[in-house]
Amino acid sequence: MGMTAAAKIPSVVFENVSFRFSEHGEWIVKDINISIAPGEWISIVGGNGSGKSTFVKLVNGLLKPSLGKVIVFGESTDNANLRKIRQSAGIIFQNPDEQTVGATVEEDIAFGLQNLMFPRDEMISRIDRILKLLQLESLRGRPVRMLSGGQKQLVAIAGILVMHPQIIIFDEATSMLDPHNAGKLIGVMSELHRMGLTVLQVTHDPEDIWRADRILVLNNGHLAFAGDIPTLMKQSDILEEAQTLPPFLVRLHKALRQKGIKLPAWSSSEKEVAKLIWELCSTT
Amino acid sequence: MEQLGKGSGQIDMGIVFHDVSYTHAKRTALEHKAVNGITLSLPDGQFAAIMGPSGSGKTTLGQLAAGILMPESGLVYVDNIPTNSRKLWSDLSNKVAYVSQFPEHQLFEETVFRDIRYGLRRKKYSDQEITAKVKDAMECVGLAFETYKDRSPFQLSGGEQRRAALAGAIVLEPKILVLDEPTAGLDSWARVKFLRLLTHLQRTKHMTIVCITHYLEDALEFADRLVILNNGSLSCDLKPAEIQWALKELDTALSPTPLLRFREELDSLFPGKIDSEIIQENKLFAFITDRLMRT
Repeated sequence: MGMTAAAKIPSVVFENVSFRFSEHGEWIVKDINISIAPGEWISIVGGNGSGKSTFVKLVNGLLKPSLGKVIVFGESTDNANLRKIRQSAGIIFQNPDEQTVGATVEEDIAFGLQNLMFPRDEMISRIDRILKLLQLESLRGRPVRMLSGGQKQLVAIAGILVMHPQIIIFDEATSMLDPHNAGKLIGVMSELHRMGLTVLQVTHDPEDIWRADRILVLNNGHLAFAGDIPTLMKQSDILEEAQTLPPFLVRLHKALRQKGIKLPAWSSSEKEVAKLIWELCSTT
Repeated sequence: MEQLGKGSGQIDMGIVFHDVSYTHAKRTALEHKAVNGITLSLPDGQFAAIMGPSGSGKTTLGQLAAGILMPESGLVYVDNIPTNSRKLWSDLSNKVAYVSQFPEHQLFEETVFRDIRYGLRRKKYSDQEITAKVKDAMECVGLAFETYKDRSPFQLSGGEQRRAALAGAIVLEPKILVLDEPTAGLDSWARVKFLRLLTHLQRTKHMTIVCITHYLEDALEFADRLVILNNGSLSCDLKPAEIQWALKELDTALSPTPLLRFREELDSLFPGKIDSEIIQENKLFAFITDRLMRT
């Protein structure tokens, strides 16, 4: 019973949340209501300046709502829970050079645990496990500044994972990496999602949204859409209105529709869509 | 200028790399050969995408092309002028403009107008001429002069800042524009708009564009040529239409884009029907709707 009750607590809830930096400033995020379930993978898209980064900073209490409430696992971000909430929800930012603190990889990863005065044995065993999970063991004693951008992002993730978070947030974390390293980081995200973490991913890559359980589209601070891909496809102008390029296959669907060609089914696989076109050609 | 042209008329105009090498942090613990024996010719008016993994030498190659770095061995020529020629330095700097990665870090004046005119400060233009040139450059990159001239560069969006930095480069009316990952950090919409702007400059001003990018999608969509580096050396030099073949046969370290994967599937269902030249999105879509599905 206790377990099922706990499982029903959403990982993140926004209740009528608005945010602005100063009392008479412009609203950056406006009247957002959303509930995110534990273990969900959420992609957050929208143009530059749409409020995506503000949204995720509100999740882990880096910013406090000007109006409304943000609740993380049942606890509001605007009171004494902040320390706990920062532990349960960590953010990886865009720039690998701006989020490492220690001299060596091991020291960097230990930083958060040291702040919490963790016993040494527990600290070391946690670090061991995370280094193994991210395949960073060979870098353990290396100076952080000598690492590549992709490696630095992995070290930043390790520093968050040792805190045993329930939510991990990626704020355009792949945008400064080359395709190879970006792909590796996406692999790590999938692994964390499989392990049951809630993944929030702010992204500019149109193809990223395929992996998500739900997509949030932000437009000018408003939540213009929250739902899965098939639902989003029925209202595909929402992405364009939010200055966001839809994924390739969605662009193809649209181009076909504009010429009066309607595919009999919807698919997210290139192979399936090609087949649908072939079938349509052979029946006419 | 004149006499140079006569003396070497047989050489193509544009950028020529002749067996160029460059080492960073020479004779230190961090010594690193960034570019190694590259020979390459980028003719006038071409849009070349420079690609390759992090650390493959792309930025160094771009800075060598722009004359910001001098080759350690070999020579780089811009319109037949070796970039290490001190005597002809001012001719050279009039020809090439360089836009670095995250150019917004170089915006520092109080207004957009002042920032863009900065490069003209040493030229002997009247105030009227300067205003006209800045206005042209701004309109060219899609920043309406009256709306933006008095705004602070720091209050612009990411895409607007990139365009302001680009205006600061093209106000010098260069023949060659070298850009280092010009769309990094921009949203997908701003990215496509920015790249369309570059092809517009290429076409209308006959500008040579050398653009460093990680995005194969963009390179296929906008470039005439893909120059792929690996570990400081030239690994492939292709036309976009050769990409499907290159991904299979060569070690490009690139992954196929969704468009290429889809095209490959079509190709297996309609053998011989999909022209290898069709790798741009609009052309592929038009081919499907107007040819494939109409026959």
